[in-house]
This record gives sequence, structure tokens and C-alpha cells, in this order.
Amino acid sequence: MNREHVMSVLYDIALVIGGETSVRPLLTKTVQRILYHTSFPTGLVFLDPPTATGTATIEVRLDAAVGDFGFNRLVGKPLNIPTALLEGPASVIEDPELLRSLTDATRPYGACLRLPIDHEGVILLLAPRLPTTQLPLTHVFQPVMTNLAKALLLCRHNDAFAASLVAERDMAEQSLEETEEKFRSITSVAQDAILMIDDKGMLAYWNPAAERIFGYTAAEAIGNDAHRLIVPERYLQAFEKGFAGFRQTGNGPIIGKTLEIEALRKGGDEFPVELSVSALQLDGRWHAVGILRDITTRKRNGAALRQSEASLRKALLGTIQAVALMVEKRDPHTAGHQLRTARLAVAIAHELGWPADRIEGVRLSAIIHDIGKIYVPTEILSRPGKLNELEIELIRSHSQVGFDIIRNVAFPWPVAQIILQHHERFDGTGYPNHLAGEQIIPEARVLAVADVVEAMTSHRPFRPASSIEEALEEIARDRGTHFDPEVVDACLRVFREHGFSFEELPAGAG
Amino acid sequence: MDVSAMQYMPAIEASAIDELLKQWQNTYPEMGVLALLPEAEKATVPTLQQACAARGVTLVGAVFPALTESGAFRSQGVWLLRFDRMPYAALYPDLPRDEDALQASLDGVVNGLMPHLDGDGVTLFMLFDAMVPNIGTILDELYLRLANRVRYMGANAGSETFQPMPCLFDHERIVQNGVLLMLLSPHHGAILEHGYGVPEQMITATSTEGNRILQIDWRPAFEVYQELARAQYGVEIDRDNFYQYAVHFPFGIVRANGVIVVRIPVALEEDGSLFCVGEVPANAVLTLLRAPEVDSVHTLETMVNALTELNGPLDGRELLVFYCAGRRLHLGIDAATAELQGLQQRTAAGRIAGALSLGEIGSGTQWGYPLFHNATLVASAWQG
Repeated sequence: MNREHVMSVLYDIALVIGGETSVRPLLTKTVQRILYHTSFPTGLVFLDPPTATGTATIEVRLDAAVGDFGFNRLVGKPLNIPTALLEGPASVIEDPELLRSLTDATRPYGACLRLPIDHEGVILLLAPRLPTTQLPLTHVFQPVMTNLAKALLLCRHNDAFAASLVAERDMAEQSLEETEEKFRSITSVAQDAILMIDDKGMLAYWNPAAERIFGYTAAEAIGNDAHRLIVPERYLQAFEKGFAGFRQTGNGPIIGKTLEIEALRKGGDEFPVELSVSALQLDGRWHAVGILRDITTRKRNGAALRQSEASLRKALLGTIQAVALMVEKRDPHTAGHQLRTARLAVAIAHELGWPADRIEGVRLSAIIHDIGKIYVPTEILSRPGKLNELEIELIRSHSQVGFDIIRNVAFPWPVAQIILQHHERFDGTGYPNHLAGEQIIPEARVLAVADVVEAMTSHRPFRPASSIEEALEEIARDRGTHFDPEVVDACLRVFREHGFSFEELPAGAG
Repeated sequence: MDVSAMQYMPAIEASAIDELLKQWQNTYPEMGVLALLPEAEKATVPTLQQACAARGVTLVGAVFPALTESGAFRSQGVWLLRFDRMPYAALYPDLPRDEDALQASLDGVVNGLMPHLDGDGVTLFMLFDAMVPNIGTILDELYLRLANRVRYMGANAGSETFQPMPCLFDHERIVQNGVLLMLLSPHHGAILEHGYGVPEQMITATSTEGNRILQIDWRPAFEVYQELARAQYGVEIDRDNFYQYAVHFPFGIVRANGVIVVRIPVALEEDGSLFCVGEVPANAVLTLLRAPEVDSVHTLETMVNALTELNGPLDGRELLVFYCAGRRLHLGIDAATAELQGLQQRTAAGRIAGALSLGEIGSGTQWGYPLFHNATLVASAWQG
């Protein structure tokens, strides 16, 4: 072979070495290529052999083996190899006796070509006898072996780097798997439906509770338009309008809120749900996560409870009104006073802009505000003429007595306090506790005005009835002294601007 | 009664085949058959399949450009080679080209072979479809997995026109782009020789894709090929005479032991790339060979000596030979026939069955690294 032929062989092997990035294939393919060129049938590679042990054999790890299945199965394991084979410069060893000590070999070897890979290891090529060649094999491969040593270093670094990346990836994957497992566990045992909608409005997640509540399996739901699947048609336009903005900004009218609404089951039945929606960004795209609770039972129970409460309250009111009526019956001159007072008090409260629920408390309190008069003897209540001090005190006790009767009845309003304070005056001159200004609850201040106006315009045994205008002038005079100015102003507007009249319930009618 | 394990039938007749199988079965009830068919007889594969099926005989086979028989090339007839006891055989169609898929496929191939590898003296006999482009890679991978559990021999079947053609068959299928594997045991392997010398000038295949050379020395492959043929051998090769000349000027891949691996260009593509039988590694250093450098006498002597060393005296033995179709074109019909007859005379073999092949597998020594060659003779004893 001429120089050019030798160079072509070295070039070919160098290309194979340069083409690998990992130790195992680097060694295997390099040995394969050397076998291809030399006709040796077997090649072994030992990396990092111990140096100058002085012993007959060296324990060294077999890092690659090609061509002998006895060695192939021992790759990665330590072998005892004669020191005379491993140590020394590149050389041809034709010593069948020495080679017989390779006890793992599956065929007899008579020749060995040792090729040191600089200080990184050694390649042993084995053959039954030395293959014919014109090449000085011990010299010709030396530059290639130097290259191989450098490539080994690079490949070892690359393998270490790749292994660290794999370890990091495995750790990240394990962590992700654990997180996903937790998520799956939580969402699969949740009693509420949990679903996720992507930025195209398609369902991307649907938990087992959603399957149970809506009747669609995950396979049926995922990938379908969420709104068209579970939102009643009357809400569709509003939902789709809100979603158009949501997909751009992650914000929308129901994001971050909890609301009660109706949803559609498979088959088209509507049912009430409590819906809370959150926004979530995945891969730069907005997703909506909805948690829906089926509140059919709660709604049904709530309605029944409200109905029951209303019935109870109606019964209670009926009882109290019966008692109040009984009181009025004992004093025919004041019959209907409480109902008419209630009517005016409600009108004033309306004028003050109070909410309906609070006005209901005023109305109920007014209806029974004189219930304490049950303890006042009838002859005192109905006797014309001036009363003595004792009798006046007895009559004045009716607000305290009324309070004592009512205070243990559980009203959602301060009915007992209103009754107790309805004779208190804004300037502290009232009774029984001489409260003043803000110490008197607003409902009692309203009731005080309504009570006086109604009383003045009704016939009493000890004086004739005043006209409405006289009554209004009276309270206007006492504006800011006996009565809350705002309440007085409201009362005046009720009569003068809104034309309030007691006519519907004429004095003495009740 | 002729109970030779090799029977050439000049005409393929169902009744004659049935009679032969019947005779064989009387003596060898567990027998099987390897059939070698020439391309011109490929339509008779079903006849063979039916005949074997009728007798419950296991059949494997392949279609080659031609057969060799009695020192001559035959385009008619069939060789029926008897296995006294049918060995393990497996037919794998459509071998993958993708590296990962190929690895998985070869793992399956080896898993199929391993349970049958008992004892020494086993030869893995491979018949590939010549259109498989990665046979060299497949051999490398098989050697990594099987190492010296087996010896390696084989040849490529198919059409001499290199048109795709189903060419491998068993008792019920005929497939392409695959391999037919047989485990011959006991068997001492095959000897492969070509006798090409190594010319002085080297070139580099700077761009290749499997068995296609796109560039040589960084220029369009055909352009450089033309220049080399002109400069080295004074031959003007153009697109019109390419098919006439190319076989006479094959490429050689130089090895360190001085033995080259031959690659015959068999097609010229529009872009000037050259399509070879067998892979050419990227950046492989090549040389351009020529016909007169084949040393037939040396080739035959080396082969016969090696065969004798493997099997003992060859007198009266039955041999199997694959003769490269490119080599026949390269040498010319007379020289190729003379080689066949020389082999017959030198071996004094009882019978030599064979076929004209489109690539050969073996090694120069009985224990060498298995290589995929062109332009060679591969010979082995039929049974150990």
C-alpha cells in the first residue's frame, strides 16, 4: 500500500471518531471500523486501566467488545486481563499461550494487536492468527489513537452533561407527575364540577363530578363548545360577548365572582348552579376555570324554609295583632290608632328612602306600639277629663310594658326597642329613659312623629280632634326639639306634597 | 435413484417437481427446499409453492438474474436445494431505513434467531433483495448483536435491470425490500474473493446518501468519474455509453489490509449522481478499478485453498456459489464462464449449484468481519 492508501484509511477512521458524541458508540464504532479495515474479527476496549501494578493480571473494566459474544455479555464488568496484554506501547503479540488466559473468549486467539489510547485506555484486537497486511499496524494507528483519546474526553464530558440534563428532566418530570397526580386526585374526588375552557371557548378539562352533574362523559365534553353545551340559550349572547373580551385580556363580567345561575344538563333540563370563574394563562393563552355547584337541593330547601318562616311570622303577627286589637277594644276612642299610625310611619319611612325590609320593621312596630296599654285599666284609658299624676305615670308605663312583652319575641327588627322609645323626644324630654338625638333609634323617631300626628287628628275623650294642618303645624313647631327635623320634614312632604290621607282607614274604624 | 441434495431442472413442471419431492421425502421426511430461480422464470414461483404445499415441504427461495450450472450461466430452469432437515428460516419483507426503526427490526430478527443458535458451526445464510440500500449497516448491526455465534454468508437477489421486483419467497408469500435468513448447521461458512488490485490514485466520495454518490472531490460525481476514466484508462464515458462501460470501471473502497471492497455503479441519475449496489459511507475514500486488474487465477486458487481448509477435500462435494452479475459483465461472458469452469475443475466438486447475484456477503477469512461486496465469488459447501 502506498502512502495515499494509508492516509485514506486513517482519514476514514478519523471521520468515524469525529462523528460520535457519546462514549459507548464512539468506542463501538471506532472498533468496528478498525476491524473492517484490518480483518481482525474481535476488538476489546478497556478504559482507565490501573498503572504499573507489578502483578501478572490487572482487574480492569471492559468498556466495549465487538466480535466475540463471550466478551459482549461482559461489557461494563471488571475482567482479569494479563498485564502483558494491557501494558506497553502499540505492538503485535503472537503468543497463543498468553492469549489462552482470556478465559471468557469463545474462540482460540493466536494474535493480538495492542493499541494504547494515550493514557485513557487500550484497544486489543484479537484474531486466531495475524491477518495479512502490508501496513506497519503498530505505527499506522497511533495518530488515530491520539485523536480517539481527545474524542473520549469530549464524549465523557458530553455524557456527564447529558446525564445531568436527563437527571434534571427526570426530577422535573417526577415533580410534574406528582403535581398532576395530586391535581387529578383533588379534582376527581371534588363534589363540585370543575371545568376548564380554552381561549376558543372549547372545553379542555372536565372532572368526574362534572360528568355526574351534567351527564356528559369527559370524552363527550372535551373539545366541545362549553357555552353551547351547558349554558341555557337565553344567557348565550351575554356569555359569548363576555368571553370575546376575556380571550384577549383574561377579564370579564363574571371573572373572580360567584353567582347563582341556571345551567343545562345533557337532555336539556335546566338546574340551578352556583358558579365561580377564575382566569388562568397557559402557554400565553387565557383559559377560564369554572367551579359549579349543583344547588337544586339548597334552593328547594331555602324556598321551603322561607315559606315556613313566612307562615310562622304571619301566625305571630296575627297573634300580636289580635292582642293589639284587644287593647284597642278596651279603649274605643283609640280604635284603629295603631293601624293608622303604622300607615303614616310607613309613608314617612318611604319618604326617607329606607329599604323595604327596614320599612316592614317600622310597620310591624307601629301596629303594636301601644300593646303595653293592656296593663292600663280601661276606665283610665277611656275616662274624659284630666288625669292625676299617678294615672299619667300608669299610662306612661305602657312603652316599658310593651317592651317587656315583646322583647323575647325573635323579630328580625328592633321591634321591642322601637316600642320602648316611641315616646322619647329628640331633645331628651320624653320617657321612659329621657334619651335624646342619636340615642333614639331612627325607627322610634319616625314612630314618634306618626303617633303624635295620628293622635292629634283623632278624637280623644279629653279633647276634640285637630285638623291635619293643625297637627302638622304642631310638629313643625317642635321640629328639632321634640322631633327629629329630618323626620318632621319627611312627614310634612308626605302630607303636603304627596297628599297622604288617613281616609282609607277612618278614625275609630278599628 | 439420484438422491443428490442439489437438483437442476431445466424445465419447471409440477409433476417432475412432485416426483423429486416424493423421492427426497422418502429418505428425508423432515426435509425442506431452497429454490433458486432465474428472473425469466419468476412467474413459476406459485407452481413451486403449490408443489411444496401439496407435499407438506417447507419452501424458501429467491429470484436471481440467472443461475449457474455445469460451468455455464442459465436463464431457464430452477435449482432445488434440499435441506436434509429444514433449518430455521425467516422471511422479513420491507426492512426499514430509518435508524431507530431498523434497530427495533433487527432486535426482532435476532430474537428470532437466538433460540436456534445451539453449538458451534452455524452459518447465517442471508439472501437480500438487492434494492435494500443499507445492507452494510445491517451487517454491522448483526455483527454487534451476534458476533461470532455464527459465520456470515449471503448474496443479493433481484433483477439485473435493478428494477424493483418481489424476489424472495417462502411457501405462501413473495416479497421485496427484505431478507431471507437461514441458519445452516453444521456449516463451516463461506469464502469470498474478487482479486481486484488497488490502483494508485484515490478520490473521495464527498457527498453520499446510502448507496448513491452525489459528489466526488466536491464536484458532481459523474463529472469526476468521466475525468478519471479518461485520465487513467483513456476511456470516454458519457450518458449514452454509461451502462456499457460503468461495470468495467467500478469504485473500490480501500481497506487497511490491502483488500478493497468493490462498488459497481449501476445507474446514472439526472443530477449526475451515481447509484451503486451497496452503501458508500459519506467521505469514503474511493479508487477507480478496471477489468484487467482482476486476477482470475489467483482468485480461484485462493478460494479453493480456503474452501479446502474449511471443509477438507472437495472432491465429489456439493458446493453453492454466487457469482456477481457485475463481475460477469466486467470480465465478459467468456472470462466469467472460464472462471466458473475453473472452479469446477479445481474443486473436482460433485455438483456446483449457484446463481448470478447482485452483491455478496462474506469475509476474506473464515473468521473475518462480515462485509458486503460487489464483483465477487462466494462459495461454500452446501451442507457441513
